[in-house]
Amino acid sequence: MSHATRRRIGWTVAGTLLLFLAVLLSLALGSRQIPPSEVFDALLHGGSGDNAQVVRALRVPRTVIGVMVGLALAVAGVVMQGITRNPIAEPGVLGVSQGASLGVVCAIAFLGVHTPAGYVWFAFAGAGLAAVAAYAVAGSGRGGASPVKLALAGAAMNAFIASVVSAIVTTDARALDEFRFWDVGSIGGRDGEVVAQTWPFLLVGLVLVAALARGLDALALGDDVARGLGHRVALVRALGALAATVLTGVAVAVAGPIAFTGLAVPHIARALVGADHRWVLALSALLGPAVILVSDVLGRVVFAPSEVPVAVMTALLGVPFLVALVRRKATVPA
Amino acid sequence: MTQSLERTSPAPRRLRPAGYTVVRVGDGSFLLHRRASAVAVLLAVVLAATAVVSLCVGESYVSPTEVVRVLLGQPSPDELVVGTLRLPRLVTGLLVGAAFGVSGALIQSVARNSLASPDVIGVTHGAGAATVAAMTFGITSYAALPYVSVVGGLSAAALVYVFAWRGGLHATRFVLVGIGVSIALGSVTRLFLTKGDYLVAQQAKVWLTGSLNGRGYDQAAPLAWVLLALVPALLWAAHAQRMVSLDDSTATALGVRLGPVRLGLTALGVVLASVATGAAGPVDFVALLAPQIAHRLTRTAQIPLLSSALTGATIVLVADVLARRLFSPVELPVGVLTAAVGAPYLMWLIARTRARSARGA
Amino acid sequence: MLHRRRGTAAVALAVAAALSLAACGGSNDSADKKPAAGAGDKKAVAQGGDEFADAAKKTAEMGTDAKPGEWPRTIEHAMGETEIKAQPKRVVVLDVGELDNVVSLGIKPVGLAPTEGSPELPSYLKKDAGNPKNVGTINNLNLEAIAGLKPDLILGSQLRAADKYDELSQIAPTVFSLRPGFTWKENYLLNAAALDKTAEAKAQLAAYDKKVEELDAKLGADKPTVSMVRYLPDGVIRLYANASFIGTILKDAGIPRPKNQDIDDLAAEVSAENIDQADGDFIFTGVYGDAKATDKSRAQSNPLWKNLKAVKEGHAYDVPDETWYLGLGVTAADEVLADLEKYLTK
Repeated sequence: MSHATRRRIGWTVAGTLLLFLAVLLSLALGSRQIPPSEVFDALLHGGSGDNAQVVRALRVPRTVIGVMVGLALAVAGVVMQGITRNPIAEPGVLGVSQGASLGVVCAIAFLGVHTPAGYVWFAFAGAGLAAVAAYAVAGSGRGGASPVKLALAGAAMNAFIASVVSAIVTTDARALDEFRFWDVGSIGGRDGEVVAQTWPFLLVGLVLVAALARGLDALALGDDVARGLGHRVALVRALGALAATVLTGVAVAVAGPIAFTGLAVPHIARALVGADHRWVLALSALLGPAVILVSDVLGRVVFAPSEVPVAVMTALLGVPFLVALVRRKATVPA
Repeated sequence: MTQSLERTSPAPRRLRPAGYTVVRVGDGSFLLHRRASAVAVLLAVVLAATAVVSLCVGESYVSPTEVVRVLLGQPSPDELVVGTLRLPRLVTGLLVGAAFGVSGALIQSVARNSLASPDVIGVTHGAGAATVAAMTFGITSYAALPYVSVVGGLSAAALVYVFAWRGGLHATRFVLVGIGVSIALGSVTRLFLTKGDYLVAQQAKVWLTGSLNGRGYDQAAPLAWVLLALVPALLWAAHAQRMVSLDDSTATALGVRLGPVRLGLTALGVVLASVATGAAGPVDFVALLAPQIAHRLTRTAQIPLLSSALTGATIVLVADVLARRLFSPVELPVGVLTAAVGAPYLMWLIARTRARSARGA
Repeated sequence: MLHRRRGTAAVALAVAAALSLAACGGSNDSADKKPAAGAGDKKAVAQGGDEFADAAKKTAEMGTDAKPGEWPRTIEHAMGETEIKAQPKRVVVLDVGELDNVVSLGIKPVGLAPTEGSPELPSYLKKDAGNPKNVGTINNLNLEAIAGLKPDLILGSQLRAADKYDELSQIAPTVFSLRPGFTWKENYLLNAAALDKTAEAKAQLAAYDKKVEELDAKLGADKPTVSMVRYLPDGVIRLYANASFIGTILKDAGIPRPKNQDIDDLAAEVSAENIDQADGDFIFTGVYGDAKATDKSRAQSNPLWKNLKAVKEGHAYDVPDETWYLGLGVTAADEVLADLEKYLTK
């Protein structure tokens, strides 16, 4: 076994442990104080006490949702950064998540679609439109999409969607409550039912990405090299974009827009296990849920008994990461 | 301003670059860009017309003659609507738009990048976060909020400056860090909105979209004083703008120290944007749009400050008239409209920027 | 390398600063509030402790010295003194409380600023309120629309619209109470003074008092404890306490409250995980806005909720939010009393 492989396996094991720890924290901590022993009891032996009920009825679904969302966002981030060869690409920064949530809200408020299985399609549509628009805007003009153009296109997209939302909300009071719910991503307050209705889409996205891992590796070497290696560049890009859209759509349909997880996790994973996409994807799939769960636990603890939505926490934790990234020479030629 | 200047016989041709006219005032003389002056006059006329329209339309229509009577202080049945309700709002909008316009012009000059604007580099979000925090702690008086907002805007800009400084200030890094810090501050704002009382959160949300509703001389006065106090600084800025358009090596060769000049211009831009945000909330993208439009009209080498101010004021007034009338009797916040126009414009700008120039320098 | 490390340090510092700013914001916020009784998951949500306690007393001192039928009269109110020349005919109300006040005095207002969430007239006031014109919303008043109605009196509160008082007072004489909510009786008398309807208002309040006494008598000495739960958007669940509209009614009727709600504050907050703290002999539940946007289904599908004493005994009722929680006047209070009698004497 080569040194590199041992290192990769080591980090993957560490990632697994971290995720396990995050799941435990998410189950054990909350606005109600429950001793860890009772948490274990509730999980292993059931029980009908109040504490056991809270763990099973509220914390388990929340944790499962957190894992799903983290997984989807982190993998979507890897794919977006891979197909655009752009370190800034990420569902939240590019405005793709906001597009998906606008899609969901329109479906609920104007078309009367109320089941997650129904509005997830609108999330896909919104995410796809926003992604295409942001990338088309940033990518046109000579020289293609630089990080700053992509980030600005995303910022402009977010601002535009926000103004559309304000206009609708100001003039249609009934839409207000729906928008409030989809404005900030949160994994609390969602029913366990959304998991049951959306996991097949997550699976489809993940399988698609797994099949693309080799193609993403080739893309990293440049389009010409990739073509030389026998990859169909356009097809890889198109399928990658589709997978990223589906994954983002699922994450938003489940929890609303959450930024920065998809940005930070792939970079951390690459720093730990190198550029091979199969390893990066595997480690991201472990770290993404861990990041979401830890952020959510922090959000529950910092201002207890009120809760801070997880999207607020990931933004606060993720921005320093973005700043550090920007300060590195690789992103911005000085 | 141009009409008061006395034009005299043209100076010898060789001393005068193409497109300029020499103007003598008393003993001194200076070059005046003919097209830029014409544009400024034109913009002033458009602004005046917009202002009159803004005073005429609303829940009830008031004829321009009646508006003029009110402005001249003659008794009129529309004194209340025009003089008390519309005029203070108009004045605030005018000053806010002008301040945002100049602010954008300065920051874009320094960044040498048409994509930079106070909205992008964190100023408005900083002001927003500080104001919502203050509201959460029970400071809800609209007289105190502008000061809080200025402090917030300046701190945010300072933060971005520190983060983006790495042996020099790079436009791209500045913009990227600015976007990041803006998102973080947006989250801090949400944090306070969630924490705060429900009623206060509702009020804060109206403020956060940038609104001229109920804004009057209380908000306009501090803004007017700041603008007045900054006139000498702005005259310097118009001159200094020329320096920052030099590239670093030329500047060094000419013995100009660019660092302090850039810092000074940026600081001026940030102060203007913060004060304007304090008066009306974050009226998005005016600072981005106004200098661009003005610059395209004048086709001067530098972004024109006066024309940017006039354009900014016009944009805000037009947007405010639309915001009042579109969904009457419900008023849209004016920031919603400027963002709805400004964001696509920003995208268009990005789309036609070459990657290299977008990368700064 | 040095650069890099300094940069990282700067970033770390900024994060620390942001978090500590937010954290001290949080602690400061809760320090202002009186701790709720009981352990753990409670938070008071009122603002400005001292002003809160004095508000009723201060509002009661406002009003007029004018005799019935005497015009012009000077009204002392939250923003100073205002002279009203003649009996107002065209009244604009800036909140639901003022709407209830004037409608119960037989006046049909010409303009109303509804809440953001519900642009329609409250159903319990619909038949007597006439057709007031919409003048924007509570937090986004349309001053020109108000001016266009040519009102001769504007009624509102300092808490809601202090920043627009200057303009409003130039449109028409404007009388502001300190705040809406638990000072509803004092606000009523203040509004009535401006309308020269003090006698009618006192009669209405006397009728209310009589109904309260009847309910008191009917329930006897051994009254059940009543717990008030309200779901708001963004996962906020409030247990309403004494310094709220509903709190004053329950107190008037001598109905005991659970310990965690028997506090001098608007409400205590709980999360879905702690919904068991909402227990009492009876639970009355309201929902602000759209139930879907709140934690109601999550809290009530929870076995914790189903284990509550009141729920098991079938003593948990959904009540109309617009009277019980949004209501701020005597008409709403009478409706609430009728509901209470219906449920508690069943």
